[in-house]
Amino acid sequence: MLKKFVFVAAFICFAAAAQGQVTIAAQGVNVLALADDGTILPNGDAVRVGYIPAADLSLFQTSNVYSTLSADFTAIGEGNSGGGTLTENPTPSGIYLDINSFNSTPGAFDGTFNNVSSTYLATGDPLYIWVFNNANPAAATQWGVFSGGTSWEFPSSFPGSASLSLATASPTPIRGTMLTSGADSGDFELANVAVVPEPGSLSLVAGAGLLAGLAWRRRK
Amino acid sequence: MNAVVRSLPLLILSIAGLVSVQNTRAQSVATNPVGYNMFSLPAGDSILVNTFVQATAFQGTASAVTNASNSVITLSSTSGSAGTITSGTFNETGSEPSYYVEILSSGSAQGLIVDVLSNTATTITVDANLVAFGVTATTSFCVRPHTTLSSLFPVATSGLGAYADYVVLYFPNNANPTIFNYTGTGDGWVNANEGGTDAGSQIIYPGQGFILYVQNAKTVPVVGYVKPGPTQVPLYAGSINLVGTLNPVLSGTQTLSNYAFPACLAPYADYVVPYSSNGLLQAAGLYQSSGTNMISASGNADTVPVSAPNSVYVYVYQNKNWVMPSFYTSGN
Repeated sequence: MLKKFVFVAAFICFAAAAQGQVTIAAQGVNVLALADDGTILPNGDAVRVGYIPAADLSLFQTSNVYSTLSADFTAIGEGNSGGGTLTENPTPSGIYLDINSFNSTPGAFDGTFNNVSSTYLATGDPLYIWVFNNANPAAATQWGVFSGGTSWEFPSSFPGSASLSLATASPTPIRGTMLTSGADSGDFELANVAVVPEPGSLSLVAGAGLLAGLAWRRRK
Repeated sequence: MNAVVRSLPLLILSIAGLVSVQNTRAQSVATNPVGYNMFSLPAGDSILVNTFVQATAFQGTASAVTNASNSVITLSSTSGSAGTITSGTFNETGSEPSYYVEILSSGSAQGLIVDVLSNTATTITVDANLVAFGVTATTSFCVRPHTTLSSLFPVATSGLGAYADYVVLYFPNNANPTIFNYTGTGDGWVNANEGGTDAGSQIIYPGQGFILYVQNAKTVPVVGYVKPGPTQVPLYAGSINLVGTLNPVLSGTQTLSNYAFPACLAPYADYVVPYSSNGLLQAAGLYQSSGTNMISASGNADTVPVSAPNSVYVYVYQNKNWVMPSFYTSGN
């Protein structure tokens, strides 16, 4: 009985000692990020890495409202407390991982988030890569969201690492396309997302139309 | 103490040119140098590798190797020590192998390590199809006892704390770690996952990393023989592979480039993670192969230090063998 107690204590001790920080790499190496017309995304276009609750995945398949989707996205890095620090070469000008022509390949990117708190997300939470055609995600007109299934999960505190590679995980597009044929086979392509004005902007447009209509009637 | 290993007193007798220790087993031909290291450990978890192997028990040349799931090596009549082994000496103990064969001949199988199932006076049966690994009929090879928890950390000298310190091993078919508690009595170790069964005979393969937790900072002695030649270490797809080098010299600088990983890892896919040596097991970066160098998101990572006897975590997408370079070239 004493032995059993000691064994359990040892196991708990190991688990406790393993609390700490994890490392998450995100890569589009040996594959290219393409706009919806097949052109290669330029350096500086933003890439986000983070968690999407399963219940919200359908929203990411259909919604074009960035602010709504962003609110459902728990981003790694980006200055979030416990979200880790981004290492990328060259260092991005903003808070986002970006297309950086890694290995001298336009459209490629490679970044690592170090010192991510092991409790920032739950072990096994699925992670996603969200790629934009703009350095400012809110201003993007195209984006792609990709899943690596069980290959892209928030790691346990030990071994404490995960590599999210668009080249090795046979990623599933939540939004966008993984090209499987032709010269661009293996590359991924963003989806065009219609710009949806905010409700306030819609009122202004409607109001302007109404005024224009009135002016036309007066002239008539 | 903030490092796993600091200024460790190292005594590699033959490397220093002082003494060459002959294995005292009657059937041995080995003259590999004996080594002695002190692992200086902080309180908490350290990720380590044994820097030595056991003494060579037999060395010889084959006259035939069968192409079968359990290859049979027939000893050459011209082998100096062939015929001197006693039938059954290398047999498994229960279902646990006690010895392994290492292929010494140059070629794709050099450094391959396979368990011995049994032996007669003229044959050795192993737990692998050696022909599938490219082993030729006239290969040279040696036989060594496995290193076990008891032989690596014996009760008499380890200085570990009974029911306080423990070892964690990862296995390819078991995502969960297995914890072995140090008992300080008997063979010194029990398997905590199996309700405390004796586990002193638990094998630690050459190059296999493990976690050693010590409740209080301490220095743990490790004794063995320096292993010459390359060593093949299996890496299992999707598993927690902890591996380290058989570099007997703890002082000086060892870096990622010393592992020769680019020859093994899939470029921009498989990756390597070293850990902090402060007892906290913090991931200290993620590195990949470019095909010729180790790289990170910051660029070339060949010079990233991983001091012996620390091991690293390796993730691979396909099963493969990592060929660890030799850290000592004399001897067998």
